[in-house]
Amino acid sequence: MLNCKKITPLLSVFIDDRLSARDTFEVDRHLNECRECAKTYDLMKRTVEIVSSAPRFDAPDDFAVRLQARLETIQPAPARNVWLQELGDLFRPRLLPAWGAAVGACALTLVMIYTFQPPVKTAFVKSPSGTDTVVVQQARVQNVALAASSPLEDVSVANLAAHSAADTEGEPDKSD
Amino acid sequence: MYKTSYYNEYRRLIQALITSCLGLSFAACCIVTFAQRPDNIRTHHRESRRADENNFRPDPSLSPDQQRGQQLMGLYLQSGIRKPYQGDQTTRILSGKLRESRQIVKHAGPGRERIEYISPESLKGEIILMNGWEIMHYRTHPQPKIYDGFAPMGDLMRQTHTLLRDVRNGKVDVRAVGTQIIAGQNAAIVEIRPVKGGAAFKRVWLDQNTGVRLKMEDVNSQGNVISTSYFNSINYSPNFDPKDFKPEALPSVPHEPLLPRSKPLGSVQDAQTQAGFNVREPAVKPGFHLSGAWVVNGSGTSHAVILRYTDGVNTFALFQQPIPLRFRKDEDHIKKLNTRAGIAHWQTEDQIFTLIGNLRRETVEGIYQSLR
Repeated sequence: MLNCKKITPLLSVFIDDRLSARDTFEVDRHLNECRECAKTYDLMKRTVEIVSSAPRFDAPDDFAVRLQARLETIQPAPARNVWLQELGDLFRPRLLPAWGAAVGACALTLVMIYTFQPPVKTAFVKSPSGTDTVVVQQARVQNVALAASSPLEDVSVANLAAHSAADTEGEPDKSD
Repeated sequence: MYKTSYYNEYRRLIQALITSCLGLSFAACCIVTFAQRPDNIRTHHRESRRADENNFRPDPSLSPDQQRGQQLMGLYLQSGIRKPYQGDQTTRILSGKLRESRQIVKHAGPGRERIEYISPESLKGEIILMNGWEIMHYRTHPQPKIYDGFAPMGDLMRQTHTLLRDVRNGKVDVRAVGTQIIAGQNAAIVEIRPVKGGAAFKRVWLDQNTGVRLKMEDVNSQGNVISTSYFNSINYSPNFDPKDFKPEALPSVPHEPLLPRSKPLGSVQDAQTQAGFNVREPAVKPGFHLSGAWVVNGSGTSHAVILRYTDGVNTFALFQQPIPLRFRKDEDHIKKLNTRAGIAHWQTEDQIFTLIGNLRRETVEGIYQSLR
């Protein structure tokens, strides 16, 4: 059921008989029950009748020319205001649920991107150096720690080997 | 009468409490004072005490150069690794393309070492820090990251004792082969070979006064030097910044676990129980034995297992990880043996293997065939 606040903007359309059947029914019922709105309706209807019954005058011949000349002197509204208005329109209450859904979807996508780790494929993909798998690269780094626990191993040699092994693919191995 | 006795007991109790408090305060002061002393002073005391324990008696039935080699190894393993020093070190890998790095080594005792890289450009700024119970490896490339974990000191001491025992028992052949001045110090050259096992060996230059290892060479079975590391200068009275051995003083970057913070496992079966997959045991040459196993987080979600083998001198590590079911049928992922510069890796239908160590091609082939 419509209240006064919602009825008032519909009155003009109701007078022009352009409302939907349901709205026409609602407005009609409200006007029968609400004296204030009925008064407003009567006032508006009378105004429309007065305006429509007013005598018609023919415009002067140069009216169109003068109108055009005056229109050309009017400065357009600043673009910034239009832009702001359009931006404001994007956030009108009716669109807020859509915005909420879009922001939620984006957040969910970001969370999935950051938390998703390909569980298996990393073992088989090439490392950033492009010549090794991640598994081999990991083994080389771990071997540096293993070297640290042996009195006959040299950590510096193990680390240099870990860094440079990726560059040596295809080279003859002199340790054979 | 009753009141006097009660008063005396009460007074004795108060006296006992005051005496206990004074004793505890004195003990606390002593502990705090000792804890605040610089590390190198404490290390020096331990070192001088242990130097007295250097009672290594070489086997008189051996040749003079072997006896001298045993004496020097005793000095190195009992005193040299405990001696604090700071030095400028150069490392070279000579197999394949020549590679070289230069670093500052700060050594505060066994398992307490900091290595700061100054060249090449790809290693510059990198730091390896061992603070006695863990190793932290700050890498700058490809992304800044710290690999941490493991307790190298316990394992280092265990391996040191094993090596000392093997030298005494003659399982490891050591002999002095000459002398040379390295980093301004009078060094004796010692060759260390396994009696059974690989043909590769190590050559070390030991400071005859302190036992500190000044230079080291890895020599392959053909007698070619494949890597070397030596000091250009060394200072036996270093003044370390207390921050040098504090992990929190390293750059604040993401950490990644390297090896578990627990003792290495003693058998393949133990590793298999922890890892939850069929751990393969390679067929190794006579003389080699398992010296430790670790279960670590592998790439992806599965565990990986590291098996380390040694013949007393040469060491190699085998890394293995299962390939998930959905990849096993994909023939593209079954790769053949690929070897280069001390690293071999291959994939079978169900596992991926990486072998790191300076082994003969035939030895690597043998291990590869035994795991197929």
